[in-house]
Order: sequence, then C-alpha cells, then structure tokens
Amino acid sequence: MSSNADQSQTKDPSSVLTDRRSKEGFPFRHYFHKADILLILAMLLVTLAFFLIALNRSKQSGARVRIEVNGSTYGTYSLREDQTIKIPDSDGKIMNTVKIKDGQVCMKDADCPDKLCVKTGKIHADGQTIVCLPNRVVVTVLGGKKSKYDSVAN
Amino acid sequence: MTGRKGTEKIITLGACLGISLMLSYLDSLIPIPIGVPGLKIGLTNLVVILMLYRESLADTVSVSLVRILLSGILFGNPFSIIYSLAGGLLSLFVMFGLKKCGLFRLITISMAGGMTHNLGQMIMAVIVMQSPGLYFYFPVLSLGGMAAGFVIGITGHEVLRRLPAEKGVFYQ
Repeated sequence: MSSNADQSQTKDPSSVLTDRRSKEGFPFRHYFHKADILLILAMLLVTLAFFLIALNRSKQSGARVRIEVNGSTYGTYSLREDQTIKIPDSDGKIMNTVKIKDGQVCMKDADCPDKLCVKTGKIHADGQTIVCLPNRVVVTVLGGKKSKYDSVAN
Repeated sequence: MTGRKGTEKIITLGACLGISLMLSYLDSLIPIPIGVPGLKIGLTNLVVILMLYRESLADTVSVSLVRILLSGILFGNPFSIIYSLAGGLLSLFVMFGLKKCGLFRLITISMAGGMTHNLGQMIMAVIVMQSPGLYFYFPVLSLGGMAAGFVIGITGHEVLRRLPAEKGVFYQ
C-alpha cells in the first residue's frame, strides 16, 4: 500500500489523481497520501501556534493604560511593561511624565502648578484615572478587554 | 497543449472566466462577519485549481487577474480588489509551487490554497488598515480557509476525474 506513487506513473492520466487500489482499506487513500497528511498537520500546527500566541497576547494585554491629551488619545500602553512615557506640550517641552512600573501607573512629574496629578499616586484598577487638568492630560487604566490597537501614537 | 487552436483556447479561457465570475458573485453574497471588509470564502479557487491542472500557469494567472478586476468592479469596491489580489495571487502561486513539487494531491493543495488565500487577504488588511491586531483573526481565517479548501478540493478532484484527459478544461 505504500507504493501509491508508482501507480500514478501508469498510462491512465487520471490515475495522477486517483489510486485504483484505494477501493480497499482506508477510504480516503486516493485523496490523501502521507505527504498530504503531513502538510495538513503542519498547517494545523501553524494555526494552533497563532491561536496560542493570540491567546497569550490577549491575556497579557488584559490591563492597559490609555493616555489622552486634549481629549484625543495620545497612546495606549500595556500595564505589564515597565516604561516611562514623556508627553510633550505643543512647544515640544516635556509637560507630563507617566511611569508604568510593576503593574501600576503613576504621574511621575508634571509642570502644572497644583501637581494634583502627581499627588494622585499609583493606580492600577480598571477605570481608575489620573487627571492633570491644567495640561489636559488624562491617564486611564483599561481592564480586561483586549484593545484592537497595540500602540497608537497621536 | 501544443497544437491547440487559438479559438479553442479563447473559448476555454472565456468559459473559465465566466464560471469564476459567477463563483465570485456567489462569494460576494456570502459575507464573513469578522470585521474585515472584502474577506471571502474563495469559491473561485475551484476554477483556479482546475486551470492549474489543465492549463498553463500564464493562462491561470491572466484569467485570475481579469476575474479579480471584473468582480471587484461589478460586485465590490477598490478595497475588495486589493484584498482579492493579495489573496488570489498568493494562493495561486503557493498552489502552483505545491503542485510543481509533485508530493501533494489536489485536496491538500486546495486546502493550502484556501489557507493562503485568507492569509494574503489578512496581510493586505493589516497593511491597508494599519492595525497589526488583525492577526488575532488568523486562526479562524486559517481554519475556515482550510475547510473551504477541503470542500473545493473534493469537488475539483471529482470534476477533474470526470473530464476527458489531454484536453482543455471544458472543451472537447
């Protein structure tokens, strides 16, 4: 049963597609050979790999931090990655510095007069916000839902 | 296929184009509710598969290109042309390569074609829409493409088995 390839060399051109001996035994033998099954398995494996990556990503990105400047989204960041985001004002001078560390986010520095945003401290729960009213910067923690965008600048 | 008369070729390719256009129309009637406009099952793969086995690569490519352009103008929009172009050409060349290497049978080739068809569309969607998050959809699209390719592969296999050998696809 393993020499199906020989069979396809015979004079009948349609035997390239159909193995006459397939009547007996495995019913799909004339549809699939060993190489076919291997390729299909490989395709399924690739699909599974992508599925696992997507699953993993959506878990990790469970909590996100959205920064809004002047009412429009400045960027969305993962709460899991420690990073510092510097937000420049219209002149390019850094007006606010947002810090993400150990799953918490805080306003590290701001050039506003009252510094209320810095005094807000660290936040991490879904829906919590840090607002810097003078600079019109809003930092929001977004929970659970996966974001469609990874990181969007401006 | 040497010695085939020009008229015969025109008739064959015309019939292929007509049938694939009809399948394109059927395709456009069945939307895939996944948020990416222009994604389709790819029924026209059937014609592509048959042509790959019975016609030259150049003929297959040209019929595919004309079909994509016409169906985009008739049933779609400029974006659907771009998506179809990416998916159609990628799957065509993948299927041609798999057939050329001689290891695989028609159904497997068709399944790979269905998968790469969706892959090409998705890659184009990521480029056009600038949202890499779209690859979340890939597992679904890949399985869907393989399922469609399986059905189309069985159909193509049975059609091809019943066609007369050494002739154009539809013309004796």
